[in-house]
Amino acid sequence: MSNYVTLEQATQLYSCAQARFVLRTVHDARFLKLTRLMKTLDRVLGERIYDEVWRGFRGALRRYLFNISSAPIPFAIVTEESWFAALPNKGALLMSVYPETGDALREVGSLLHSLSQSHANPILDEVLEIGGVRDGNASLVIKELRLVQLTEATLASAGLKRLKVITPQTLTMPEKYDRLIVIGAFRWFPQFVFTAPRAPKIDLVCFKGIIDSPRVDEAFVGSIRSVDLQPAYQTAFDEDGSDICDAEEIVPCINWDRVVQGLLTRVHRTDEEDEVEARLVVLAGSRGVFLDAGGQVLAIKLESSIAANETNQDWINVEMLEPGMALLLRTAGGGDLIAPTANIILGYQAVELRARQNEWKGLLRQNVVEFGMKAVCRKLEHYGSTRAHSWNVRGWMSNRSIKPQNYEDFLAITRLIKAEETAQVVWENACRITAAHQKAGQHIRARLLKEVRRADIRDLRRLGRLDFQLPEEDGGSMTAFVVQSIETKRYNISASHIGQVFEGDEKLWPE
Amino acid sequence: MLLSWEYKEGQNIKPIPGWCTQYFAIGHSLAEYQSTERRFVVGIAVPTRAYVAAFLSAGYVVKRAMIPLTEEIERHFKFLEACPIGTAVFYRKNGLVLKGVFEGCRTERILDKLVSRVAIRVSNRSGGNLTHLVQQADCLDVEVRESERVNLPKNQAGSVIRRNQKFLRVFLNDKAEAYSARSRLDCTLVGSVSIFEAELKNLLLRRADDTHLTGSLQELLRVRCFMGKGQAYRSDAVSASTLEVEAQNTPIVVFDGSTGFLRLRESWSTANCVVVLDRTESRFSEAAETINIARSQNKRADLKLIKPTLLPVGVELIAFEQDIV
Repeated sequence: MSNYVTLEQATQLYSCAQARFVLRTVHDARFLKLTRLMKTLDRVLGERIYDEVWRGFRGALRRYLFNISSAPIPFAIVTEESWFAALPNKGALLMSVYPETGDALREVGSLLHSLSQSHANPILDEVLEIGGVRDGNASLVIKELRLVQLTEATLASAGLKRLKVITPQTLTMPEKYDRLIVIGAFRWFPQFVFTAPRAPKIDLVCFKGIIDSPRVDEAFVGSIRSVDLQPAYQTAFDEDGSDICDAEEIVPCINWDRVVQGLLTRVHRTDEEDEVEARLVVLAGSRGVFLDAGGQVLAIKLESSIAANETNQDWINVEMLEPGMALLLRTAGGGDLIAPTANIILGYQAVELRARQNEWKGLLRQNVVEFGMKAVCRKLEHYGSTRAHSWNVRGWMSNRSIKPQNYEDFLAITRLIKAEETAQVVWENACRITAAHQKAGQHIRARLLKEVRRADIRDLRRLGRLDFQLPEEDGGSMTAFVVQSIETKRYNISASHIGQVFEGDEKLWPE
Repeated sequence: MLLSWEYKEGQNIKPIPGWCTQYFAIGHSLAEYQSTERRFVVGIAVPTRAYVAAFLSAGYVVKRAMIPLTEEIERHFKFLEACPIGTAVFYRKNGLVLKGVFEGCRTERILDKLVSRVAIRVSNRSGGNLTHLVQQADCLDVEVRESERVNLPKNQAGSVIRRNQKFLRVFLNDKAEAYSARSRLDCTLVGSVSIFEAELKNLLLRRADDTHLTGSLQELLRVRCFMGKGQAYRSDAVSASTLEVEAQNTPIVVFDGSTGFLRLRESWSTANCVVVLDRTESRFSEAAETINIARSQNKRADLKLIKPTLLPVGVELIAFEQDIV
């Protein structure tokens, strides 16, 4: 039976429904000046802000503004030291290309230089003013997973180890907090942070200089409710017109299409025929992974309706993946774990069985290279195949699949490669490999389940990823990544890139 | 109805929270809706899904219990008539569940009246092929079993019908007896079956002024898949992760979460529909948008069955009617 949410827990969450919201605006002259200068530069350059040369500088500047305003970290702790180091040279170059930026660009340069040496942390100073923070009776909510550890380190050095740092993903769990301190602009967070509050008191700490509109949208048009949906703020939002940087302008938003284009142009495609149709899955922490659209993957369901330590993992079809689940991917130990495990199950026969397998796949591939995919499909149809479409044929000759589902298709392949007399034997071999792969899958699942049970799954929810070491034989490790979204577009990807996690290039963000 | 009740969870005993009684009352209100040409769609956005579907469905099913079973009897008798002779059945009689074999429906003239009866054999040849003739009015006591083969014993003691009459009588008065003896699908829950089971079975309800008067939500809902074989049911639960579902006629389907709603909603396109959406779910917006689109395509006015004062704080609700195509 599931480790379900108790009525007591649910009642506690309902008790937070009318949370008291306090807006705390942080005044910092340098931050405000930087946002104003950014707007000035935008105004001066007009459409030229989208030039390749300027875009990189502008993107980095906005990233910096976002980082220092979305977590209580000192101005000097910058996540892009190389960018700061290159600033003087870059500045000179920009000045020569865009002389009209003149003083504004110079001022930005000197301001950034001064900030990079400043240990001021105005957000943290404001947080310290909030009651209960020093006793650990509050939790900090920050938007970005990648800033959690940096924030924790900053808090630890300030003697605030007991102050927990969480992300909105953690707030999907049925856990009540005494007080939540949300860092940054209202619009940077999913609406449920405010519409399904997990604490009776919520503070929103944001720099003055960021325009925000703290309104929640009704879920259903024309809906009814017993009390007003809008958060009841104790303090009014500053509307004196001095706020000049729109919250949406500096929020991270990776253009995955550009990331993928960049990735595909960098990758040397050696075997065009061994392509698979793939879905791009965006993982927490600005990472991505391609998964075989027709394949399966080990996933952990992290349902919000079940308790925080509950896990439920299984092989599921990639098409059934949903945001909020966690994917288990091999991150160390090399490649797919199933084939080596299946080889152990097959024993001494593994080598011979695999060799026979490679033989017919190689001959099929050779036919495709020689005559082309269309001709091979036609021939296979002629030999009795009912599913000889290009995608299926690609799958059949790929080493990632074992055999066609139907014997008629396989028979047609053996006729094509002139090996019909051995069709039955090779088919039985392939069936044995399939059975071994299935057993291997169950075995790996059981081993992982053991490891996952030992691990504290709360860390997965908090950090968006969790590593699992597999203790046996070939060992290696697997990492669970929380799925953020699944792109609807499908990509043709070399099979060797399936399951390989890659970083979303921050330089491409924000557009 | 639940105001004077407490709940026991582990060692804790506390009054039933107000929000639970509010969902129970919403279920009660929805059961008053009657239409054969239209259905209602209700979307509810909640801070946590826990227990919402359970209390709302319980309120609905309890209210529906007041509706006589007349139509159900006629429909069920026709269904039995169409069954092949030899079909395995359960036969509930005198508080017991017996295994049986359907031997056909017979219509005979008794005292100038045509009387239709269902013949149910409950013993084998050495037991004398004992056969009960069940009046049409009692045909709901006969339920077809899923198993195809049946080996009848010489004699059978039968298994006891599980019921908590004292508890049921508080909610159902004189309908309590028939409630636990006769099946009718009044509600289908779609979501995590294991969570439904935990919520419905583990929570003990207790009358504040009579601590011996206890029961569970499962005893009110009588969810078929959590009942023993042959026991009468009033609702059923379906897993939201099912790829295909053989949807049965049900007056209401309660989707507990966005996954089941987005995946399976077409399976119950004629049933009244309640969608419970947790605001923290990853597919919350998608599901809410689906409901908004359905409402925008609808020419009928919003349904006024539920008053805003019935809603727990932090909850948003939309209710509208749709023509059944």
